[in-house]
Amino acid sequence: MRKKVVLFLIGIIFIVGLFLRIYKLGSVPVSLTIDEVAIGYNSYSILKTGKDEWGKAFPIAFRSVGDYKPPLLIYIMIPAISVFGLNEFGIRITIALIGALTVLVIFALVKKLTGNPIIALITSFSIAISPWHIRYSRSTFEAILALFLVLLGIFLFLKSISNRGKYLWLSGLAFVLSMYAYHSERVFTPILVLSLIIIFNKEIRTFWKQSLITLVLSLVVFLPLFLNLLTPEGRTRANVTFFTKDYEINRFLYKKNPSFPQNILDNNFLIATNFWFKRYLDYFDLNFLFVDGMGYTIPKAPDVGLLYIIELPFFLIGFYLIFIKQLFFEKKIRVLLFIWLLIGPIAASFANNAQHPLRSLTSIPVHHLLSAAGIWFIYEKLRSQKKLTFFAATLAITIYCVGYFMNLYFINFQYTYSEHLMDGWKQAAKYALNNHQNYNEVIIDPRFGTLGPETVGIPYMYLLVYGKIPPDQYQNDPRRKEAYDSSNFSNFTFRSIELTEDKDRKNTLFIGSRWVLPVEENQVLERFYLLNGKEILRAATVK
Amino acid sequence: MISRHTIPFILVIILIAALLRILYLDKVPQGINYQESTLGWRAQNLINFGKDEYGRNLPFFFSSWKDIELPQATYITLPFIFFQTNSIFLLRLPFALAGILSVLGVILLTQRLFPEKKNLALWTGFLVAINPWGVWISRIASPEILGFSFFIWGLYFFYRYKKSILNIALCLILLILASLSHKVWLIFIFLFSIYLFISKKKKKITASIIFFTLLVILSLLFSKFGFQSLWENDLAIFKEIDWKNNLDSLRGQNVAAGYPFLGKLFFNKSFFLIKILENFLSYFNIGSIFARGSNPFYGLSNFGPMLITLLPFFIYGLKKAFEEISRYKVLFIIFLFGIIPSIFLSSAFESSRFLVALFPISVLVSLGIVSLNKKYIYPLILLVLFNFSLITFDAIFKEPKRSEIIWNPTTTEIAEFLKYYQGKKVWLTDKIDNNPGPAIAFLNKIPYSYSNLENNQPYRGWVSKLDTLYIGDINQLKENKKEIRYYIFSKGEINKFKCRINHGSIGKEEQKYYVFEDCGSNF
Repeated sequence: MRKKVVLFLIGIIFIVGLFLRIYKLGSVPVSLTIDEVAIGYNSYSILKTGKDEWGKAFPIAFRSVGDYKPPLLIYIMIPAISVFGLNEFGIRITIALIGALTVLVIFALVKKLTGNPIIALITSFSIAISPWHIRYSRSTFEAILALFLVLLGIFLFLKSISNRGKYLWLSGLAFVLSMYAYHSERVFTPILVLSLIIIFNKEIRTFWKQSLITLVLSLVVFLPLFLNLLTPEGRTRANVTFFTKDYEINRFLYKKNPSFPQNILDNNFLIATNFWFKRYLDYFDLNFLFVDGMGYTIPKAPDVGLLYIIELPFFLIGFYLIFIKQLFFEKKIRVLLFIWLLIGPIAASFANNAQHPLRSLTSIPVHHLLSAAGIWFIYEKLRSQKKLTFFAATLAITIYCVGYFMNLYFINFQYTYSEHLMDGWKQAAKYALNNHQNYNEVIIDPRFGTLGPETVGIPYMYLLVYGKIPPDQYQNDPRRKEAYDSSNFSNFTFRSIELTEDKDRKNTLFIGSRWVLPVEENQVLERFYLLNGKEILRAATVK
Repeated sequence: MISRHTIPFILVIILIAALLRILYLDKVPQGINYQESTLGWRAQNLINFGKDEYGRNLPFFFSSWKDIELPQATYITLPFIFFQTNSIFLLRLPFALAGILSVLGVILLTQRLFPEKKNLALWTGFLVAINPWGVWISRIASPEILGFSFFIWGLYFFYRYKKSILNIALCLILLILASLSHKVWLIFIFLFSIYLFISKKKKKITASIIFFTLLVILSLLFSKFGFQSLWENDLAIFKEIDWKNNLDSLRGQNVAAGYPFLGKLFFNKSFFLIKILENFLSYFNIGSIFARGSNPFYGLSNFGPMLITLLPFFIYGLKKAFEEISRYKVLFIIFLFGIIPSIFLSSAFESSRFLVALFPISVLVSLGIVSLNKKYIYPLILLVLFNFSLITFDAIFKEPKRSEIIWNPTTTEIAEFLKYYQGKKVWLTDKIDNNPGPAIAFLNKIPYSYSNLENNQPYRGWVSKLDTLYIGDINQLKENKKEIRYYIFSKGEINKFKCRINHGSIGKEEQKYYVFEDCGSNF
């Protein structure tokens, strides 16, 4: 295929990918989630003050709501927030662009791996329209940035192999930065890099000087993160989300070590390992990958997989051709792809929650590459008059699948899960900001939910974002400094509302769910509704 | 041909299989589940009166609590429990023997199919002998293991067939018997025979089997409640109310959002095709086969049907088999056809319904093992042994606790307790088990005529009356409540009633039941 045609096609694919990632970006998802407001405001805070919301200058891990967020995305988002402002579009656009750029990187990588521009084009198109990748590119999910850096790292590494180590230092930098971008990469990237070193050790030895420089540079860049990981704060995320914390396994673990002979055949290590295998193997479930993994709808309802169902037969053919028939790639590349496929879900399987699509995003390119190889193989095998039919039929079904996904994501998902997407908090925050000067105090309860106050939000962050509260003002607010974890500021108080104790508070505005504010109709000042029409929050006075 | 020097190995494998299947057969699994007890009670009645639990004379299709059952399992049980009609051990024995024989059958069949692969048959037999899938299902009175054993032997004679009358007869009888064990096997053997017929293998035999199985399928369809049973069990996907409602709700949401056309375009009955595909794909989930626990009815709830340490060898064996796909085609055909009878169910992967895959999966694992360099064999054996010990320990000491809700060992204790109160009216809570009546009737040898089951009932017959015993919800009891002398309550029901005399409890912890006297005036 001519170079110009390839460039034209990849340009079209990039535009399609970009469109799917920025179309209605400000309004879909329906609301900024907890992570989005936290990341957005911390980025804004760094932009304005060089400090995070808690007043710490240029942190390596952002304390945020106690989860110590990876730093890279927050820093990268600064330009977009300074240009577009602290709003939905400004917060989301950086990741959407990185998501769209991933389409180009994957093209370059697959072309490098296969030497076949058509497989590279199909793979990049597959990712451009991927339900897996689109969803996470439309919110501030750090995994998208980390994936981009991993792909870039591999591409630069392979390019270095054929260029006597020319780009190796850049590759090392991309790999290290990926660990600054997302937690999963802190497990995935070292294993992948080690695999690359083992697989290509002969080649690496031929340019040992560049390798040494890369090693030193990578270690220097990695050092701050490493030191941070040694601290209790740095380990918070891993401690909180480790799979043994999951109720499903935790209740079977012994609190005290059992005695002999139990401790040989029945100990916590074996129980946890046995459980981990289930979690890990579940990531290879074809239903999860192709039928219902995204969870856009309630269980037992039509859903969409991480890839489209149309890709399943091509994926199987591609898998067969590459790993069984050993076509397309040289042995080293096949080994690399196989290891990539195996280690992709490792980090996800060590965390709580089964079949977590976001955490397993690292293995996505392999799945798309395999299905692209399958498509190309069938296309090549067909007689010329049938090629057009195959192409037209595949394209038609793909368009139907994309339409189905768009409908599911843009409409049904927003309706069904508007509560989980934190719909209602924006309206409540704006109401509080507009009316707080009329009251002595505004008390906001973070607990909410349509079936009960089961979810805990971070209302203060919605006020900071939608009020565009200057970070230095917030950081230095005396009420904010009342306690280590106080988020109160101005006359806003964020705590549980207990009407038995609060019923006598005069000139106080309460905002919370109906579960904590079961007041008379005439005491309700405003109700805030989800997209599906259910009341999620209300504003009321009690005196 | 089996060489002479392999015979000691075969004997050792058979011995291992026998020990794992026969030892403590009446105690592990604990208690007796309602399917086993229904089978036992039915066999008891057939021996004593020539009638099943519904009073029908030697029927071909039986009704169970959950389904319509094919005849093979019931009639095979008869000679075993003839001398002691309420023995759990004897009730389970034919199934355990079928499990042991299936190991020998697997060795012979593998040797016949792949004679060029040294030790492949021995490894396959060994794996079938020790894997939880084959062991556990052989220890319960479950017709699936009979189907598996007869199929393996039938297939062996099919491939061994050298125009000898004996071979033809054995092949036909065994495959037909396998098809009469369970609906899954009936459909599988029907489909598999069609494949053999189309691939031009011994057409007369395969045609005979197709004809016979088709006849049974048609008879089943036109039998009393046969169609209802198929519709509600084997084709349950089409009557799953949740899916219909969810489809409607998604379409409704679209209407609300202003895109009714899209709602109809994307959310319609084609969704059932996706559900069928989803069921189909669930059988390819290696996690379900090697790691995820099974339904405690048919397997271990915390471990996969196959040992997890065998997974790498399975993958390697799969690769090897794909490299010579024409040579190993039959394994893939068995695997794929084994899924078809289960794709219309409302639930996904079910290990008992997929027992046929034990054979191809074991062969593939063994292929991976024998294709490996010999230096890996000893570490492998150690690893497998450790894995096996771990599972055995768990099965004996921890599984009973996890699965007690399913197996409810207290039912057997209650049956024992009730022997002392014969002739007196006793009420038993329905919270105890899915259907405790058949277990009590089987263990206490209560004839079918003393129960409330009638011939015109559908197949989900709840035994609410056994002589002077009443089982059910106390509020729906039609008898004169004041005549009832003893009451057996579950833990959660104690506070609802005020009885005068407490006779203590039966069972342990969660499965504890309390016996009271003189509660008549409290309802």
